[in-house]
Amino acid sequence: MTPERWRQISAIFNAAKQRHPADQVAFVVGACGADDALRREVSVLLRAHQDGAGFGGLPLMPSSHLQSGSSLCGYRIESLLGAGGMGEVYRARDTKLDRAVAIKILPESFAHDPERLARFEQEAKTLAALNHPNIAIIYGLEEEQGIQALVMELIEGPTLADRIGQRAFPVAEALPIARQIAEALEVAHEHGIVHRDLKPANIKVRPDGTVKILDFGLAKVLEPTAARALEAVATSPIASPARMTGVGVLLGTAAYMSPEQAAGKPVDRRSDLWALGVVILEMLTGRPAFTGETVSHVLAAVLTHEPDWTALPAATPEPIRRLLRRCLEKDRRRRLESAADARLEIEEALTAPAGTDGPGSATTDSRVAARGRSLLWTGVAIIGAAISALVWWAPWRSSPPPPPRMLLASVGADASLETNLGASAILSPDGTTLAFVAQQQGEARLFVRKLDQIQAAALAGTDGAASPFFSPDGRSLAFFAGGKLKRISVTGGAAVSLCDAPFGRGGTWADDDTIFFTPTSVPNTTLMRVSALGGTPVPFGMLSQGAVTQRWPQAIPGANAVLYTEHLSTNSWDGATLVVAPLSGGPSKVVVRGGHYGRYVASGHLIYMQEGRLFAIRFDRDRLETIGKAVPALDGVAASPSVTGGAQLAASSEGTLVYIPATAATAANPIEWMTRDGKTSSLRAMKADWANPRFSPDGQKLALEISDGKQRDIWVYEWARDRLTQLTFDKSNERFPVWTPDGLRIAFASDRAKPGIRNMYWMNADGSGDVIRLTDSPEDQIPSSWHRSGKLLAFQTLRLATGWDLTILPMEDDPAHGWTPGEPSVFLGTAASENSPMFSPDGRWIAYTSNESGTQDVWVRPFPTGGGVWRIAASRGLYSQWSATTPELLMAPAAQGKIMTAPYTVVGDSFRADTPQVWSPTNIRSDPNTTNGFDLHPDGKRVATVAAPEQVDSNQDKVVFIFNFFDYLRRIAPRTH
Amino acid sequence: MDARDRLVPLVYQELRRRAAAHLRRERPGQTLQPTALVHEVFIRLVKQDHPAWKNRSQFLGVASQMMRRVLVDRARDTKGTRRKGGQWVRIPFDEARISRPPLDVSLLDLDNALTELAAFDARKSEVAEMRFFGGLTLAEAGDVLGISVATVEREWHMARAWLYARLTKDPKRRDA
Repeated sequence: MTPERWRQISAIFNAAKQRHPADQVAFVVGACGADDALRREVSVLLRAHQDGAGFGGLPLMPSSHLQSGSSLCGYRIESLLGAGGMGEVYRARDTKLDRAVAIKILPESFAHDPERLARFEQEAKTLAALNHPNIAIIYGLEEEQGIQALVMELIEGPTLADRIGQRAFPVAEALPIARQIAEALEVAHEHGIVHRDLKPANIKVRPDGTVKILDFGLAKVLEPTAARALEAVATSPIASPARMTGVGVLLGTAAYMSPEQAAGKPVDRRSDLWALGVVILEMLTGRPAFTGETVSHVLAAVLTHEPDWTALPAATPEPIRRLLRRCLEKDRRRRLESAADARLEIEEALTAPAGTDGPGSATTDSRVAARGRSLLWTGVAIIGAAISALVWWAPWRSSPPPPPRMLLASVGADASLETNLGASAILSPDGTTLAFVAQQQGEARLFVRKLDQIQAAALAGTDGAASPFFSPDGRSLAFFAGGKLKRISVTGGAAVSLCDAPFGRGGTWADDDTIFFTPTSVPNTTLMRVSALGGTPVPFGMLSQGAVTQRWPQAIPGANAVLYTEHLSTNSWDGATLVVAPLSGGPSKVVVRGGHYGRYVASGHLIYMQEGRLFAIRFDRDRLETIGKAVPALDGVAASPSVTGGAQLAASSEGTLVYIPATAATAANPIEWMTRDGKTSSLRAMKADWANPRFSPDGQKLALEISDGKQRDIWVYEWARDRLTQLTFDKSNERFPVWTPDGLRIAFASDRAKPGIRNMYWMNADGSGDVIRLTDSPEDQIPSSWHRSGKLLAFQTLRLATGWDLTILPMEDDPAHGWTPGEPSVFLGTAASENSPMFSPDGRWIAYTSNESGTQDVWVRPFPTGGGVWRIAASRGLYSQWSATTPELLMAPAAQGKIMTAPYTVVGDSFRADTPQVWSPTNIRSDPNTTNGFDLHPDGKRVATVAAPEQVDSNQDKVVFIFNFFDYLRRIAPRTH
Repeated sequence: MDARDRLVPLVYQELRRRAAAHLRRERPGQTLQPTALVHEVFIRLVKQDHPAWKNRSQFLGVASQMMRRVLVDRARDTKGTRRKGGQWVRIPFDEARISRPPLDVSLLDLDNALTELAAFDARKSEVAEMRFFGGLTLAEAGDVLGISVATVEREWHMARAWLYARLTKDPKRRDA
């Protein structure tokens, strides 16, 4: 290499890497001109720059690792998972039992010490006997050619350390994890085993919520004593944790070390209870309880500092505060005695309404009666039958004012509340009447219950109701149903249609008897206003720059202004803004950035949802401005932060809040096979919050997205072997997997570059290699289907001017550069909303859904060009899929319902579809997260889906009342801030 | 003889002595960590209060170079004699964070590649040496070379890319 040449390469490389990967190819081609060799050199370096980003980031350590494919003690080594002071860990396959295992190779020196080995063998035997779902199983200890290998259960998924990151867990999410850790400790302690190194990095949380604790008891036999190891590094004044690997490990450990461990004293089970406290505290606050720049600082903190109790969220239940204080007693004689006690405290907290795991234990009614503020509410409390739980709750132990008074109560009907849209349970302004939307025998209806009565009554003529709201006088209700905005008297009578509203996204009834509402979820829809007597709605206001939707309005009483949620996309609502606009039509203004479903409450606060929590901030109604800082007010309120942006809460003007508690498990389902005859069988029994399944072209694997409650990732399920592998790990949402026709790669949508704006990426289907970005666009994109050539990807794009449109991304296969994405082009871009473009198996047609005709139907057009467009009559589908084996087009139901199919014939250039008929008599469950509620296996005979049960297992029929909500808000967000 | 020349043999001897001691002990849970070692030696030499040790950045530059020599010597000595010796691997300290195996680097290959790089771009090779063997931050490497952090970063990115490409070049590799 000549210096001249190298300078040339450097200059182009440095300029190119400033650009986005998608633009780099074009730039390099331009910069290198006809010099092909130069272009190759730069391209190789750019690729290495991307692939090798982690290279050299960490210091070197000696390794003696095994090659993948090699065999050890009957296990086939597949890959190195990691390595550390305690040895190397490999992913391997037990060839006899054909199951994946993790193998830990013990350090060589250890294996040569017979005494320690014997001790370890003894310990391993005890560990292997521990059979508990929350403890990683030890299968055995093997020896071959002097290598000692510990064979363990392989647990996929992130550790708690990955999941905590910088973010606190909502209480409702943290407690079930805490309970499982406590249970595992309880069982281990009963067997005389102390973990000794419990920390988030040793705790795995699987997507289904199961907690698995790793490395039980191994610290004792594998690691040098803590004190000795610490001595070695704690003296180093220039040890910066980021740079020194060894110190980093010890820092990680030191932060969870009990004071007795830090002081080098012997360890017992109480040391684990300390660590449990530190872990729970970290989950709730999002940061380590004891920190410091060096190990010695951390240890000093452990020995002398009190944790920052004020960092605990306000919603932390009292039993948990008590538990944490008892776990984090520095003197172990005063510490909590047993893990069983810890578990009991957590279970007690879980039954509180602040937690969300359903009904709790009933407590005494007399306590309510004694403190009840109004006769009315006392009356409610005495209705014992309606009360399933009652829990007292003290968010601020140190401050004397009264805690919120909460009551979990049945709504008073044998029906299940809806939770996907706007609040289903609402209170009349005077707080005396509860109205709610609930499903009874598969049909949603509006119910009304005067709170001095036990039972609620369904209002006739309200079938399909959603997102109800009261008139200011409380005598009427408005709601969305059957594509219309309707009103009805609270005492019943006829429901009157006011105007069209095909997919209502909230409304509010202002003092001047006009209704402000969002008629549809389709992008580029503004709020509309219509007289409460009906008529033609007129648009209200304008979308802010870049925004595509306004929804969930609320007229602020006495302020002549309306508050609503506005957003740049139609998902990831945590990034939305809350806006107020005067009713007279003046300019709007943003009052909160980052939040959704804002409500003004008469205490002078604005409350809204953000990251699964209800926040409160003081609000000046005259100046329409927030005052001070937002504070967390409540956890465990049901909401739809990723789909509709709605939330299940409503306040009356006299100070009561009603909300529907979130249920943790609603989204978790097994995966089932369903055949044409309606029969179902289990494809994967384990429940998970999964969506958008797609079979690989060979039918052996199923790609799908799975949510762990925080992020969605792409997984691949090899159903014949019951093996689930996680492909993406980014903290953002990865969704909508689509296999390439050769089955080698999976394209998907991800908002990793900009939250809420999804672009397209792909990666190898076996998980190897990097995630590669295919598009870089300010517009939201969702991949849908590959052309049989593998060179065209049909996707949908949310465009500012025309809403969802159909677009095509060309991929070029260049022998020198591999696959490179080309410039996307628009296939169909009308003002209607076009979704889910699907190439036919022969590549000649594209089927898609559109609301062009007023309803969401399936349409077919020739590809790439050609005359004719066909609407499949009465298809009402949200998604269509071509069969690869027979000429038929399957369609997903718009709501819970049946898969339909339209057989078709092609004559020349003409496409003719028959009237859709039922494909299978069994209903599939609708899920608003899902575009395709099913996927057809390549054999054309069966689908992967969730079959809807005939009978709903359990009704969600409870709401929580907080009686002194205004007092509570005034206390947590006081005027003097 | 300038300060740097006087520094070199002392640092080398000290590093080698300590590396040997570490490897002899080879306690479980304690493998040889070059960066830690470099810092350990620095502390020790600082305590001797020698004027040459006052310049920390200069020391770090020299130490990185010496550490490389110690490790390469050792790898050459043990090549073939140890059952599974000679392979080195980069280890993220949280093993759960990685989703695929880290790149295997033969220390001797890395050494060769660095020498090769030095032939046409000495500064990039030097930056890489400091990053790999001294664990220096970009700012520290900038101090040693007397250049801005932005320049070091540019040098480092290109050196890293070149080394990575060089070390992963495999004729069997399918260019997908």
